[in-house]
Amino acid sequence: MVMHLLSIDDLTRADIEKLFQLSDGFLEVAARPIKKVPTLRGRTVINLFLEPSTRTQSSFELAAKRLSADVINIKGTTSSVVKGESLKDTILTLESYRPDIIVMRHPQVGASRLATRYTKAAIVNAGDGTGEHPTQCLLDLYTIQRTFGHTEGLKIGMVGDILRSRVARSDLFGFRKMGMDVRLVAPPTLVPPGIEEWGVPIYHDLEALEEVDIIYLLRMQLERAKGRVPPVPSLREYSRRWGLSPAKVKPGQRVMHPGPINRGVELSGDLADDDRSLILHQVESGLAIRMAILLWCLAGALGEESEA
Amino acid sequence: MDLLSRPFGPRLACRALPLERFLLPDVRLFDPGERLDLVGDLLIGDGKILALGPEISRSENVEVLSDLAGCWVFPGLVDPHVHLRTPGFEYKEDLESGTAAAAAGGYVAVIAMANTEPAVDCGPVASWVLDQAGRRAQVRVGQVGAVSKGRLGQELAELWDLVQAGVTAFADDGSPIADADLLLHALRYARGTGRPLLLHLENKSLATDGVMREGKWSARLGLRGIPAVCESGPLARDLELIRYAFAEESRQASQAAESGGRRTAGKGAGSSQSGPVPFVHFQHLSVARSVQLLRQAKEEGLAVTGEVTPHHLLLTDEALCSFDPSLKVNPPLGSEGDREALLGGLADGTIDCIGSDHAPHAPHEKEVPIEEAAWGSTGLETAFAALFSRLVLPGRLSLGRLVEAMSSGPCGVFGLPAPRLAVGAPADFFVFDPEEEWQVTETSLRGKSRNCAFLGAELTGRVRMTVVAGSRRFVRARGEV
Repeated sequence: MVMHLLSIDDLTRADIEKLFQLSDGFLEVAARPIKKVPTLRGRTVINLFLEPSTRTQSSFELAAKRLSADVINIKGTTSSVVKGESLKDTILTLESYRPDIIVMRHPQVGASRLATRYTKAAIVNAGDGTGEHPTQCLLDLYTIQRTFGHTEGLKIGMVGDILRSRVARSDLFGFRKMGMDVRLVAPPTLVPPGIEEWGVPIYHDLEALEEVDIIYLLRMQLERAKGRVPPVPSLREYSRRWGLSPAKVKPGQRVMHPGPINRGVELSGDLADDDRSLILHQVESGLAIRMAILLWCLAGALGEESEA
Repeated sequence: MDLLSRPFGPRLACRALPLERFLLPDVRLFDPGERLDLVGDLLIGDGKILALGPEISRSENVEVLSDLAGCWVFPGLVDPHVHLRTPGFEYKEDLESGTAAAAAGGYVAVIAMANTEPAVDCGPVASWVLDQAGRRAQVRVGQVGAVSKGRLGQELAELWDLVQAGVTAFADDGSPIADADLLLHALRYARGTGRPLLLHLENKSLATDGVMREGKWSARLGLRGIPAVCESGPLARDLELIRYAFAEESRQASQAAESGGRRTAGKGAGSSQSGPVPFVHFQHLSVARSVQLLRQAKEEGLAVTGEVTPHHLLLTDEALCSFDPSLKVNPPLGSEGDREALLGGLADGTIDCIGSDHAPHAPHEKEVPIEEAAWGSTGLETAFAALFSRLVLPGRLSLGRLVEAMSSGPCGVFGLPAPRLAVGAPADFFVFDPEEEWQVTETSLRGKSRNCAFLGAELTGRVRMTVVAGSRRFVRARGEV
């Protein structure tokens, strides 16, 4: 039996700790001259990316290759989707290849859950519109675990375009699952209405970051504003009021960002290069944790086969 | 500049004049806010009220203004709603002429709307106007910043940049915010600025090319009518949006308070106001139904305020029989029932303040058939005298309520300190001769434009002197035109 990873809610705290352990091993593999293990030899992983991506797609591709799986990449701009094929038909077509895992990014919320109906493969949600991005949450948690040695009790402030961020939606609930204290800081127009009913404190001023251990910045997702009232009047005013610069980061605080970063908008260029920034550590953790996730998805199936 | 520091306060600018030292002998000193009503002297110096009361020692070297003996002294008037037409329409009015008119009407401060060319929709334009006012204005000028870029009702203007430039409030006045989503964005984005949002209520798709209030008189005259629901409809919608936005804000604030009690919860740093910020102010209410809706909202405790103009308190649609283009105002003059309801709302505090909506236009924009004429009437120079003559003297409104609604009332809307007759307070007041009878004529008006709805009116009581920041900005001898 395969396991889907569609939402961060699919994982328990114990699952996440197990993934950390697996990732520790894969980090060690990544330090070797030969960075490949035979774990998923003969398995097929399809990367179906119907929305632009650099780091997630490359991270999954490399993760699958290092596990010795066969990988194919399908991108939105070159796929039959542009010819008007429905998601159902795309998945049914891919299902004919009998893949083991489909890693899927899609511009619409819930698309990965829909895909599970048409395939026996494990679906890994690599971002569905403004819905969730559970593997980002896991790599963020793993980065925090590696940096601080624990997650319990840490205070984190997530800043910026929370409204349209699938990262924020996965992170908020994942961070809390791991015992972290999460607060949101954003212009009121970028706070998802109703989020306060999940018991999360909301602030509108960077002052609220004074006492946090980690500042997590989110990218301003202008591409999702088309045809609507823009939530902020200008990037200039946004960066002046809510942008982060080294002077606004206290000693000991760490800065994270899911990427891609917009230098000069949510953070100043010199902060991106500051050694308090964990941005590149996040990318490194991402590879290891995605290897762990691919293994986790198939762990049940692998176990059944070895018993048979 | 450190943007984490406290938001800037509103900036009110006028030209600095040498501080004067003088004494008003035997005047009636009347300030409802101070519960003051007595006959005595008033001593001014160093920009402040130095002494007041029945027995002030008169030293030799003080100028005594004995020709004002017997007059009444009130805290200076504040107009929450004027059009100074700067920048862009200086042929109608400019900072100098508009504030000269204000001083002649007893005003010590006016709040200028942003429907200029270019619109006051960004920090540099607001700063420029306030800098100009600092050189030219006779009375204090506060500037409103537009809610939307170009006042087009599509995208938010840089509200924080406007706050830094010192704007007093946000308004797209002259145009309604028709897009509900934009209004919601404005209600959210302005949180923490400490500035109120001023709303002009008008359903343009219903108003179309109407000229006057729809009713008995529009039917008789054949002028296209604008139904009352043009105003009350948007008001009802906006109140629902405000309820929604304020409830969300208080949920968020209480959530943040529970999780650590930071002061910044749901507000900007440094905001000491309790309740939702910004509060919302409804401009120039003109129909009975609006008064009812506002009263109901206030009874629920919603942080909203309302304004009415002198012409809506004193004139009705029947006056349009004259086809005088100065009576073509937006919102249009209502029925007698509307007028009564507005007066009732003002008297019981449902309506917080009186704004003149001083809207000057050049003769060529008004000397045309009424259907083509520009909208608006001037009002700064006639507001207090007209309301005093026609409401206070006949006993329809108390003097105390009138002074409140034109002085501390508007200050409350903007969170500004109110002018007061008290020792140590800034010398911002005016002197009124309650007995002088006069007629409003073109030559009696100081502003640049002559489109006054009260032209020809015979009034009792007239402003004799206005003092702003301790210097005389307007002085008129009794009987002088």
